[in-house]
Amino acid sequence: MIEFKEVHKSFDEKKVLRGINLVVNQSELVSILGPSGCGKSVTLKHIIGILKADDGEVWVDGKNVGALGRNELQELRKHFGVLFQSAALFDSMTVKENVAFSLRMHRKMSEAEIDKRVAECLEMVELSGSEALEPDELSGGMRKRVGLARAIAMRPDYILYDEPTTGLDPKTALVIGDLIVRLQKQLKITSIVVTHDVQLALDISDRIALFHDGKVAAEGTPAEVSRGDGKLIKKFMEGEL
Amino acid sequence: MFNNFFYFLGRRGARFFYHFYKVYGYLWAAFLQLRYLHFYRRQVVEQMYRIGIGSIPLIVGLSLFTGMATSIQTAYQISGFVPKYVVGSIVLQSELLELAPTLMALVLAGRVGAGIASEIGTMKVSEQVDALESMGVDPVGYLVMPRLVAGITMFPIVIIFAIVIAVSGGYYVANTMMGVTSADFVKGMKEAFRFKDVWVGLIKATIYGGIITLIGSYMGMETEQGAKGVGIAATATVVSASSFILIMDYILTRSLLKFY
Repeated sequence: MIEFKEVHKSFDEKKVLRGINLVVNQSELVSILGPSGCGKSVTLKHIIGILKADDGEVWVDGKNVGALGRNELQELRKHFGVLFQSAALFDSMTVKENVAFSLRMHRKMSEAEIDKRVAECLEMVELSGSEALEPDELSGGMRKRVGLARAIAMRPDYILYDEPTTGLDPKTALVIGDLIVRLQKQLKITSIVVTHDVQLALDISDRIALFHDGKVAAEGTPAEVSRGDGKLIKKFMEGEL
Repeated sequence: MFNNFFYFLGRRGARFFYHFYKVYGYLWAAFLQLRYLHFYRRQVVEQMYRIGIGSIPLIVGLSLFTGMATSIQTAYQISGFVPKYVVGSIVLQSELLELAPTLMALVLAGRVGAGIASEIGTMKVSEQVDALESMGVDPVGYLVMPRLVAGITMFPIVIIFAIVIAVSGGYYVANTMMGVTSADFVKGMKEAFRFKDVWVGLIKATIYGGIITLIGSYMGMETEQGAKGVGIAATATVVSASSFILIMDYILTRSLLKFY
């Protein structure tokens, strides 16, 4: 379980988070929805301790992330898979090396076992046989899928998606959305999707948290958010937020 | 006007100490990561190959010319005053103590330092460094420490190559163009050779290797603002590393030669 308790974060004079309160339960798929620059990605980085809150606490599985030491933090991160906005593939490595990276760093597995796991992960994201490709040979959608294969290689308990459909055409965005739902069901993991794509959030989420002005302005199931506090969603969709 | 001048100096000074403090932080963090040397052995070997073996062709080519130029200039300067065998002495000592380590370090500040800064800088701005962290891999352990270890261990080896090639080039030119016989050149070398000079040259090379790889790594890790930031990091690395090398050259020459 992930819990944000009154999390505040500023960069120089700019206040990005102004008291975030949010709970993500086990095996849940929660989308954090909001306009660009509202602190969604910053929120995500607090979960794995890449950023530290100025005030407030982030708890993961009963551990206060801000209070963890360097080694404990690295241990915690092994339970997470992260799909970055740009996919963040290591461009000096092939697809196989990218997917196998964390296995080689953290698991004592034979080359045959690594090959098998890489093939499994690539099959899950429908990219079987792409092991030898270099990142610059991949399209935007393929890069995201390789990033996703890399994120699930360690069989994490949590997957964090940072703008998974940004920069993709609508068809590929749908494919990525389907993939997120399928992996969620198949692997029974907890997922947090940060996005400004309202349709994606409505389609895939168990719950949505709508960010506005550095706070969670509305929270609930897709139906509740669009019905209950529909004004905010409508405003966001019309670009008024 | 004076106020502005002092304000400018103060800001520059504060910025220098701020960077110095942060570089020291990276050095300490890399030192602590040495306990995981076995874990990062692949990266260390890869960097030793890229920084060390990869630099040898360039260094061999350039040191040949510095050796030849030193030989011609020495023969020209001493002609008519001192015996010709002194050419061998001066070429050997100049290369051992100063030219090979310092001049080649300046060349490597460009090749190695700027390369490290732009590689790590590109990784930083494209979220690859964040990706490393998110996978529970320490970026200092994975990126900085192996480069630092490679710089410190491989620079002296590269400089040994540079010395051998430079002295050979100097010998060839002295022998074929400046009328210094083989026997005279070798006699000069034998008379001037002191084992401590080799150590001084190698200590310099080791420290320069550390300076170049540490500054390159620091600039890369602190890169911001996309492609523009990567360019700034590479340029800043060459300027800072070259400046530090020349300052350290004076400090090391003074302290090591005095010490011995």
